Amino acid sequence: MNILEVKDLNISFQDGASCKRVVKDVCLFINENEFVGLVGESGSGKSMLAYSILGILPRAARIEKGKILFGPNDMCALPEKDMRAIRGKGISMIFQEPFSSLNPVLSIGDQIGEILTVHEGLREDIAKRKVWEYLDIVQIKDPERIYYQYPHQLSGGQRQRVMIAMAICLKPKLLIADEPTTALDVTVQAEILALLRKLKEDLDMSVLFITHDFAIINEMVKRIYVMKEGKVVEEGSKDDILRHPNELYTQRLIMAARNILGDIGSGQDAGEKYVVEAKGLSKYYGVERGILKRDVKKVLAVDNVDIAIRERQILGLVGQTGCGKSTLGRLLLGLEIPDSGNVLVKGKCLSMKKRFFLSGILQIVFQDPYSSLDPKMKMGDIVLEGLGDKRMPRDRKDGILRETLSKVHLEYNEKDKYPHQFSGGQRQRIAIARALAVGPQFIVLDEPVSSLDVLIQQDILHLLRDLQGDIGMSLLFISHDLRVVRSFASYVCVMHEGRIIESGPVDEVYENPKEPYTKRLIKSIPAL
Amino acid sequence: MRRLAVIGMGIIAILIIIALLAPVIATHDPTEINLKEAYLPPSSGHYFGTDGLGRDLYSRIVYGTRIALMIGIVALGIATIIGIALGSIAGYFGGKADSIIMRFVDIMLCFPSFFLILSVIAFIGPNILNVMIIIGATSWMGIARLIRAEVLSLKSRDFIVASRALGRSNFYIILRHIIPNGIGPVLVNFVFGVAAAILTEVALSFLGLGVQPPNPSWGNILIEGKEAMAVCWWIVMFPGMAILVTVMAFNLLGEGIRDMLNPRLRK
Repeated sequence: MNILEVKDLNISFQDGASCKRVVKDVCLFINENEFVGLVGESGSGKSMLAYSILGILPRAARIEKGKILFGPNDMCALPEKDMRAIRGKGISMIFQEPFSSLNPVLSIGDQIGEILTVHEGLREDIAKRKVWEYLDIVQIKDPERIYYQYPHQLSGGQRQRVMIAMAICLKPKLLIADEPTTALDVTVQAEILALLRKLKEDLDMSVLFITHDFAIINEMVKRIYVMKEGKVVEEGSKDDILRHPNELYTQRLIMAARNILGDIGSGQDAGEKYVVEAKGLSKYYGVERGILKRDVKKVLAVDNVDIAIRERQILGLVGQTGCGKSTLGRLLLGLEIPDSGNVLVKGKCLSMKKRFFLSGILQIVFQDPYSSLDPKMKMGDIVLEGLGDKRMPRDRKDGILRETLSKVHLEYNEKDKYPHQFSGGQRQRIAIARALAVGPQFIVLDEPVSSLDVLIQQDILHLLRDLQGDIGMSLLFISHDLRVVRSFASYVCVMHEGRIIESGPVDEVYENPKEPYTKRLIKSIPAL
Repeated sequence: MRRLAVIGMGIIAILIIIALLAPVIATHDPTEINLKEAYLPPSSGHYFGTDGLGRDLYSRIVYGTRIALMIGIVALGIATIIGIALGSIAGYFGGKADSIIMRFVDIMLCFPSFFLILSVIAFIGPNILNVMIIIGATSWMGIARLIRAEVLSLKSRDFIVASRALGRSNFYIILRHIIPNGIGPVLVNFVFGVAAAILTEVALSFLGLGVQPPNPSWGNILIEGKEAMAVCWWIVMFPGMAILVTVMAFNLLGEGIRDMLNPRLRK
């Protein structure tokens, strides 16, 4: 018996004068105690669909036609008062960003307890015991202590557990999980997924799991819907879809999840000489207090690291959030001054004074293409920024611009547009072009695809590999995504708490990790 | 919301035209004394009437527009330049420079600014130039704080780091990246500040420490009309209206720009 049925649902979004349809003729059902996956790239309408099921669509969105049947009720026609009774008790939801979904001024106990006292009418002392019980169910250690803490005192994983506890404490029949692990580190992600699997066994509920990543839901669901541009383009059993995807779009999503870069050149082979070498590199951040701003505490971000990158080498640097990998990347470029140790660039010592002359050799590409481009500058000026004010004839500069843009597949005649007029992927291409324009020999790629859409990630990775093959520069690829690193880099360093704990050729490290931490990381990769 | 800003901008445009074309628009010499025509009510010969010395009020207010706008804009121009320079240095370089500049800002903010202006004017003597400089030199602190906060949030943005990686100098980065991106709130502050500066000048003139007669400023027209206010309403009414409309126009424009810059209100 199905508990939810969506029939011919159409949702349109009012954006100024124009009206855009974001969900088109979607049909979907979920059986009792069933885990269903809803897969699609961002902007495919999957979150809108979820919001409409809960009746929490943004004001600009409107259900044009269709039915959302939950038991005997049509959620589209239900008055707000009855809808509120269903939310939480009938259907509940967990979100991607657990920090922004929790109220920062309420303690964890108050937030969960409030739900129980309001909805169930429980006495406070009984609610308190219930909260402990649920914190225990979501496997939070020491629930008595967590009960009195505030969201900012918890880690990302603990916050997501609290969110799950809030979502299940009224025993809903249907739980909607909207990318619940996307914002989390890989090991934490594995723990949360394991928790959700366990809850499936223990509790009596159905789950609609929304994601862009086939690998994450692989072990959890039997049935999958694939969404593209507001339409369900494919549905069926997981095994069928994984084995014989009908749509090219589904194939590409599966490829992205397996992280197969496809049949492209493996880039140029690494040479013998080192481009950048660092010995005993350390960097700490001081915690300042008082009027005189004296350091009262030192936090080591990078702790006595030796690292060397050969000519034409693609070196992957993996580690969890806050392990110091970005700081290491910046130290290698001379953008941060090390507190001890030194960096040799082509055998010469890198110092802050010489930084200017090295900008033609060392470059960087950032994670977020929305903050790495100056919104007030035109695209052409951004790309040419590194050429400086050198007296160079106009047509020479123009030639460099043309050549660089063609390398990253951008149109020359768009050079007068501003960054906001480009899409995320195009913006990342602009950032890459800016680094390439000065003809560097070593580029630090700091999470270059992490904030991009799955399918665009693949495009950018292909582009980077092609460029490396053509030009033959060295790349330091910093990422928390172990799957991407595996397919992209040839050599990998694993970083943990400021230290490089293991390094070697990619296949060797991934197949035979030696350190326990590396083993844990590798084991956490969702397999497909 | 937007319509009010346009109205404000229209009024300011008209005021600027009046200021520029004052000799053409005025019907009399604003300083010409004609005791035979003292205290005349508004008529076709004198649109706004005359004051106690028989000077044509309409012409005096027209010339007063020049002084009001000049003081407002130049004073705030001075304040903005000082504010941007000190604020961006404090924000961008941080550390000691930041501590020293911001403590200086705190000290400046401790003085009640109007009395500071009064006492300095009392020393260096009241004239238009001094009034502009002293208003400018006492109203930059807010702008410095504002731009420092902008710089602090911009400084950690990736495009600034990218620019450093490309070998650009600090001076270039401040000029090319930070100021264009951080200028929005400063512009709003500038417009509001002009209104405040005009009011400050009026208050100074009212106390006799602003623009000195016979130069016509709205403030000193007001004080000269004070004694005759009970019988000759026009002497205080018209300059009062001029001040009200001008200050309101700048405030409307400032509010409009602020709303335009706030992405949450834009739709």
